Amino acid sequence: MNKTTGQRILDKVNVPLVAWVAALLVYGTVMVASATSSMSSGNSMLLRHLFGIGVGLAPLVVAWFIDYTRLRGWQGPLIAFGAFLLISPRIPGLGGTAKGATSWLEIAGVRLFQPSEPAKLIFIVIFAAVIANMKGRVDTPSRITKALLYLAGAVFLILLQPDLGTGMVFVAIAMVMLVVGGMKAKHFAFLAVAAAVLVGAILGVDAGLDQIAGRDVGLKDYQKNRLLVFVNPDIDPTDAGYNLAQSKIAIGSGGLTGKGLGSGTQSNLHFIPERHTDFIFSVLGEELGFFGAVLLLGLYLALLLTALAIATSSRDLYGALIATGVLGMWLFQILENVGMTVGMMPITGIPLPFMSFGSSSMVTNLGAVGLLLSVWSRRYGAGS
Amino acid sequence: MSAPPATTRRRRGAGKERPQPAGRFSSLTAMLLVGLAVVAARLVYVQVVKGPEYAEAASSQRTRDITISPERGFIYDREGEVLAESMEARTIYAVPDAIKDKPAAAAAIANAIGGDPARYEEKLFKDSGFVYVARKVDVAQAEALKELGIEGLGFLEDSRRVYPSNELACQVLGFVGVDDEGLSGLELYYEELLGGAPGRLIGERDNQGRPIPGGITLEEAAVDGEDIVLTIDRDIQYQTQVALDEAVERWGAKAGSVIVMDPRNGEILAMASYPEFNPNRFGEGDEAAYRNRAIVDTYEPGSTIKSLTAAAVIDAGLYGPESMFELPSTIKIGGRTIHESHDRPTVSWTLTDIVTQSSNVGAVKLGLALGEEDLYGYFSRFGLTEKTGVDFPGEVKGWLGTPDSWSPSSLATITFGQGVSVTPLQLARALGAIANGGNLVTPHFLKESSAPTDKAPRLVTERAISEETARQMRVVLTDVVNEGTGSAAAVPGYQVAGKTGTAQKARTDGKAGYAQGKYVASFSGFLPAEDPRVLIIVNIDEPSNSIYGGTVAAPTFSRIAAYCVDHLKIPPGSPVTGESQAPGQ
Repeated sequence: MNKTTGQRILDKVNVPLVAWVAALLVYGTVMVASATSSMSSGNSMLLRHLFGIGVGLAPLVVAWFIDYTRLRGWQGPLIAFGAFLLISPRIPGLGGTAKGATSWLEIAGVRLFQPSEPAKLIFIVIFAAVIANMKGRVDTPSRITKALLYLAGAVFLILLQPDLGTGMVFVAIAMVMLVVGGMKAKHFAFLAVAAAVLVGAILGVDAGLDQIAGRDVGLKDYQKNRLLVFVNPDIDPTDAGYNLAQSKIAIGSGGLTGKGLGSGTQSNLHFIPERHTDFIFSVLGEELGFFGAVLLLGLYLALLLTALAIATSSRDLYGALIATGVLGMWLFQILENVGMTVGMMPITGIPLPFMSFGSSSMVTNLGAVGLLLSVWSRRYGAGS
Repeated sequence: MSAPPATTRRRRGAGKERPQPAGRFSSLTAMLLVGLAVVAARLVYVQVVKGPEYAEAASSQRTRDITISPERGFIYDREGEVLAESMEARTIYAVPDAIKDKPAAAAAIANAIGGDPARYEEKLFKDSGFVYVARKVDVAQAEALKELGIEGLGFLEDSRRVYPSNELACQVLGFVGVDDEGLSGLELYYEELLGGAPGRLIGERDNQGRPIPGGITLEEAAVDGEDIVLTIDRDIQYQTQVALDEAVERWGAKAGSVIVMDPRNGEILAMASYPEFNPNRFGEGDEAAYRNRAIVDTYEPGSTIKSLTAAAVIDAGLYGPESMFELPSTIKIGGRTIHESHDRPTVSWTLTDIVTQSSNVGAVKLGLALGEEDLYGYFSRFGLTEKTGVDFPGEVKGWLGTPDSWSPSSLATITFGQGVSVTPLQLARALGAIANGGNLVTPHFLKESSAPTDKAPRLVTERAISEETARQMRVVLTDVVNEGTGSAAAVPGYQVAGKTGTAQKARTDGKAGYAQGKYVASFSGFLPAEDPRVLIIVNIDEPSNSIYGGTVAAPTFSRIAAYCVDHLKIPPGSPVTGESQAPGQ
């Protein structure tokens, strides 16, 4: 092998992945700049966004250079750390509450980050090991049950916050990984039915508890509404329904070509809620229109296909599962976030990867890129 | 993509597990493609198919349409005196969210422009992006409030309708609503001219309803209304109202109306109704006071109509003013016995006597001579079957019916004004034909306007009776004042022609017949008799101290007529008869 240093580094870099991510980061930065331009703190918001990207480069590089196969030996510590992250907001003195969910790590009043974000990556790594240890044959009830116990544990801890949206992301990640893990269609069908029954039972029990307690205990009303409004948009037009209506008006009024960057009237006039974070796509749809939206979906398609290629090129199942987990996380968040802005999915606080303002999510996604690069750069063997 | 296709991927190294079959990845690929395709399809629907609809919704929720009030046209009397004007005013609005200390702001508003601070406070606490605090406020008061610089309060230029003479011609002028739109009277009838066209200001607002600086996307200037000049003479109107008020009070009447019209062309010089209201504060008035009774109320005219019956007989060539009639004390027609109002023995009277003495039996004789068809024909030609065409909203016409709907006694009773109804203005128009030489003219208010209008009255002139009949009738009616029941209507130095009326009022309880003790006392006439310039109809509704037109209404006629000849500088004319000018019995 007479490769130059440059060639060797290039060999470890998946150029398309880096290119698509870079393109998304530019696109996202432009949209965040536009969405925050009418805020009094617009400039500092943009700087914070860029700062988040900068900070995110650290986990990217670290994850890239760590040989992912070594992570498999850290299963115990990873589980402990992941659990700690999910519980941390509930530890007195550490937690911060926003919109009814105690999902922030806050020390001395300074909001640091949402621990459930990096916990997603840790869950991916843990769950990949679980499936890999079953040699990719998660196709018996006992194995499925065992795998699902890991998921159930994670979701249980998230629901303590309680953050329903992030819980859904964990479930989606697990399901996508189980496809590659060998779970059969009939098992998915069974799980879907069981989940529906379970959700019904939970809502029923919750309603019962509310009645007994005489107040709102268990699931918060806003969480139930966020789910129920999807079925019936008229439930609460001033809250979740209002957000949905405003989002659809913004995106729909963008039409084919949009109103022009920075010229989104619904965005600039504050009609779109959370327009720089959860509803950044509404701003994009309004200002850049259908063409801008399709460009974004095209970039995501390229990113996801690249992640898929990395998964299939992995030298082992473990690496393939890690890449699949990352793919599943992004796919679900994209479908859920864009879907909610156009009224296809329930409204949850799930950010749009690489686009939404918010450092926790940005750092996590860049860390995920690092994981993909780690799998990719070792496709021919550890340390190669 | 630099990643080699799954089928050709090379595997190196010694992983314990092998990457799984490509099948699992293809279902993953399918999931991914289908998911994104569904989202893209939804975007086509939302942005392309429903795009225009959402664009409309976006535009309507972020824009606020502010109407700029035009300045309403002025209304002048025939001499150019202002009857209704528009004064500059301010409308005050608030953006409640922008007001920090609401109780303090409410107190400051009340202090500056008056009113109850609690009511302002209630408005300021409304969960709305925009509330009107007060509309059409005095400019000086609004400016004082503006100087306090309370954040969240806004001021719009506006104008306010003012009627400088308060009750003067109130029912004729009508009044306007809060948006300066004409709601009644000529303000309503000539709304198109007076109202102008409102301007628009389309301003963008944010989700709090706050106007956005520089966000004005459309500005259409308001077009001010046109001015109109009426035929009304403010001074005559004033004297007329004073005279009517005093008559109603003196005779303990319920209501009343007076018309002063130029019989030559139909110009209405004054029109008064009692009770009155102040259009500057119309909300406080009684709704009964809004009625312009001379145009919108009908009544049975009673004896007044004998002048029309007599004119018809003369015009038909049946009899002359000196023709003699044998009149029994009563007459029986269609199973009904007609009495005189005061019993008398059988007499021989001329046609003139029948009118001056207001004989019911005589009128019936005249009617029998005419027959149903001719009586109906002449009353139609006098305009009793149609509206006068006056330029005023809500005009009604009385009831005459066609002969085939008449009862056997109708021919008889109609001749002296029962079983027929008219508005005072219909009667003025009919009597005007006798005054002006035989023509029906169109009564009207509009003298001129600063812009043409298709609502202006169509001034038609139709012949009702011959000029000679009219002349002869003027002599007859002059005798009514000089020698007959209308002596109290006399105006010293002038020949006055007219006819008294004391009409019973129909029952209002749904039963047929006349209400006991309820009358309309009237006097209808004109002067100078030889060349009439002023025609006056005085109706006093339900007087309680006396009931007779000659006693109750005639003095009011005299008083108004005397003022008119003086004010209009009408010279006394030569007598139209060779007989005594001294007031008769």
